[in-house]
Amino acid sequence: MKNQKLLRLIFMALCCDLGLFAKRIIAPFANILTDSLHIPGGIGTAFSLLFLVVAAMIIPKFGTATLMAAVQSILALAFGMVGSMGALAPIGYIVPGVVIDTVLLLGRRSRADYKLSMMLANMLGSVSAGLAANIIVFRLPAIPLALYSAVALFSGAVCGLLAAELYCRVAPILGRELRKDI
Amino acid sequence: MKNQNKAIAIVLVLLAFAAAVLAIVHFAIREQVPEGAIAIHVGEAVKYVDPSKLTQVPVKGSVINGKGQEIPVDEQGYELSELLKAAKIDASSIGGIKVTAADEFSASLTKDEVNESGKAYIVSGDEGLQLVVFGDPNMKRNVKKVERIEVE
Repeated sequence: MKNQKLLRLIFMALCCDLGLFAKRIIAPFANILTDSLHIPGGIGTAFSLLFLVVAAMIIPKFGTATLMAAVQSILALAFGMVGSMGALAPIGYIVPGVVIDTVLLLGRRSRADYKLSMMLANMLGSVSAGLAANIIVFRLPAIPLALYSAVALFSGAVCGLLAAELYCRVAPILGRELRKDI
Repeated sequence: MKNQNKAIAIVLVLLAFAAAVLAIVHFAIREQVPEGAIAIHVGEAVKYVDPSKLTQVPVKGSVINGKGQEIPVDEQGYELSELLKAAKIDASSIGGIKVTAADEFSASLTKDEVNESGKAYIVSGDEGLQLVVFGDPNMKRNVKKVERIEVE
């Protein structure tokens, strides 16, 4: 295996784990906010997707986020971190991965600003995860669903900007090495 | 670059505004259930039942968590059929029920599950009233912070 490929896989694995466990760390704080709004979530996912967005931006290859999301879903199943989605949890992980890849691909094709692309990727990834959870588990009435989606979009936007900030700091150090031979 | 940042700021403000408006609407239309009580809906009619006024029964058994581990349950609680009885609803004549939490997460139970002795209970825990369903492959239906029961 080429060094660059191995380096990319290590970086992706690191971001995978960071994303998965970041959700656990932020959960108590996120739950305070979502409980007070009487909605079943929408903030923790946005924060965990931040790491997928950073990795998919640094490794500009379609499928990076999807692959990481698939690995996250396997880890979540293995560690029993499936929440109320049970065995269908992989859908809740993979759907936002595909959305992030698609948004970033469109951003690259249209030469959009990286900050805007990352913000949109995190926003749409976050809301797609929420909608997938709603279809599989929650089945919320219209108003709570609209609020849940709005919170997911807003937290997705904020976390997308955080992702852009992180990308700005990481890309100059690791970007060139990770992008070799792509 | 300046325009880009302006556009991002506008998007953020609009999203925050939309979330705030929806939160206000959500709070305005959501049912206010008295502390510690459960609202039982039958069609348009609503009855509030305070479980603490009912006789508690021992709730013993085990449930399976997301990791597949057995979690022992040893609490005091109320049988669902007794809660319905307190609201003057005959559990043998219902179609099923939907138990909903404060965050709108919900779980459905069939008429047979409601009437089966030792199957489903409401227990009073640290996180408010909680539905406990025994015999499920996971704890997906163990709704926390129960606020409403809709009788079908």
